[in-house]
Amino acid sequence: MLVSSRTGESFDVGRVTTSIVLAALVLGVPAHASLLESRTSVTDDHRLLHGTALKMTSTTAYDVYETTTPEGGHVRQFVNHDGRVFAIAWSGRFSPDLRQLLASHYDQYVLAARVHRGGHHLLSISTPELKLSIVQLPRGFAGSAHLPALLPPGVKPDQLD
Amino acid sequence: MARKCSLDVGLVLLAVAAACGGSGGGPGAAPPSSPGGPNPGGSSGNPPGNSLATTVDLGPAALISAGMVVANAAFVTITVCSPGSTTACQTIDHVQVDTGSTGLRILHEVLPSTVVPVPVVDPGSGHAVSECGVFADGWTWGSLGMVDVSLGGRPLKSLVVQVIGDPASGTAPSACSSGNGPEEDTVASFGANALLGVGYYLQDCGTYCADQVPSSGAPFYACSAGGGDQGCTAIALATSSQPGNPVAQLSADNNGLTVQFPATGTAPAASLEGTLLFGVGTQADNDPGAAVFHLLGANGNLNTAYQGQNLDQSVIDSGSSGYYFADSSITACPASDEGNGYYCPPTPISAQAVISGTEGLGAGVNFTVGNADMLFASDPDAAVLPTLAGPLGSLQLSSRTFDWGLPFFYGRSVFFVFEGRVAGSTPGPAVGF
Repeated sequence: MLVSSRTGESFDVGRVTTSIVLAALVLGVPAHASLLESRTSVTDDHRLLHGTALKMTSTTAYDVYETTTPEGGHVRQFVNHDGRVFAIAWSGRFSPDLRQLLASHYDQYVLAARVHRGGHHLLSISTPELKLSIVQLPRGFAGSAHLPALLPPGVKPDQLD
Repeated sequence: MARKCSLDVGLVLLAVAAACGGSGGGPGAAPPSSPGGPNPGGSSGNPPGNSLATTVDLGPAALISAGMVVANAAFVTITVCSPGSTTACQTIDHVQVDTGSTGLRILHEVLPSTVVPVPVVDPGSGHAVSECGVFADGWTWGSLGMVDVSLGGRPLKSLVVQVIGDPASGTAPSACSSGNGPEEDTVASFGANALLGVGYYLQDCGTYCADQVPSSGAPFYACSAGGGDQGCTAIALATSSQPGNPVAQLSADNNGLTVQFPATGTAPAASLEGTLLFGVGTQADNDPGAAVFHLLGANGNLNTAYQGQNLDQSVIDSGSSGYYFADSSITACPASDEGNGYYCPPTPISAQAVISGTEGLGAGVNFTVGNADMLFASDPDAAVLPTLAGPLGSLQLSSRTFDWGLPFFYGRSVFFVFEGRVAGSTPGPAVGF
């Protein structure tokens, strides 16, 4: 569906999102998704985050889908050539639904947060499988997560913004 | 249910004894003797009622009895009363000082049944208002209510607070409980008996939540009995009904907050005594002198220049337990160790960074990154770990933060100027040190 042009240019696909989501629902695509999930999960997230615009940018190694929320927040999802979301980054005034964004890795976040004693305004997970970090500012949230095993060859996480 | 304050908890701490020995006077009572801690800013005494003693220790008894402790968390003791009463009161120890949030949040389990907050009511529906308090590590759910509070003898009448875990607020709606991590509605899961949010802002959400309802992450709900998705509706809430910054609501010395701790050196210590002073530049004891002030960005953010990078989403946060920043050259502790989530360099590392705000004036800061495994092992009863530091950020976006936690405050006077207020010529929100 959302075909990458791989030109390095970005284009706005927000106007076609509704039909894409409807198509996904008709085709029975699972309505929850995200990290580790398939490319179609991006549009589910866009809908559930009440996204106002969905923008895609391509590089030679991956595609980036950026949803803008009504509050002006941003959620970026990085999709590799296998069509898997291998990284997510978010920022905004309010925290997004982490169960939606982290999908099957949400429980790992919950377990880590439960034993965490470093203060309420940050959380960090560093396992071979999952790297996750959330920071709470006085007026906002910023977070990111990635799956090292799914990183495209040659891509370093600190290059992803 | 008043918490039993005794010395027979497993870990006998002088700090616990000190915290439990706090004044029990209500807001109408004479100012309690508030000796303050060692004052790094000078030798003069504090005016009565201008200060609140702070203690860094292992945390409240209910946490310790659950087998957990905290490190580098600063606590004060406050008194909470039913509005208008000087007898229906409770002294609450281990109220954590948090410059990273705004508003007083009290765990329901530490409030006796005699202290009855007056509920905040949604004028639209007539229903009581509850708040979903979202943090990076979990969420709280509880009613908003008004209580009288005494901060070091200074009275606050009808302060709006969140009563975390209040059974009257019913079940949290799924928008709160489903996607925000673990529930933190008990002392054992929250880590403190209450949270004293005295950050830069006047309310915890402010005008944004008075004008609209966020599409996700809404904090305020009007709920009929039982709550839940059926009973609760997300609402906009006037700023006067939101949890407010307690220090900003004092009748004087309300333009900001000064946080002082004596110097510690780098070795772990059992406990540390410091002082909160109300106001910035309003009294001899909170005079910022030559401190450099930094103006905050829109997110409440500062800039930290570290290792050639500008980390423009940085914070100075007394509610964080260490220095948190990304540096892949520093060894992280093995995930299987107690220091999991912190740095474990073979030998301590001396590091430097420069903090600035939108005014662009840089202030250099030296700090030490210790080995967390060794710090925790050297003295299991040490609550003061001045070199505790940990990694942050996996992608560039979230590695744009340097979180200057409580160790930053050791040996400093840190001056917080509130939004809409001024200290000298400095407009808030701003921080100086």
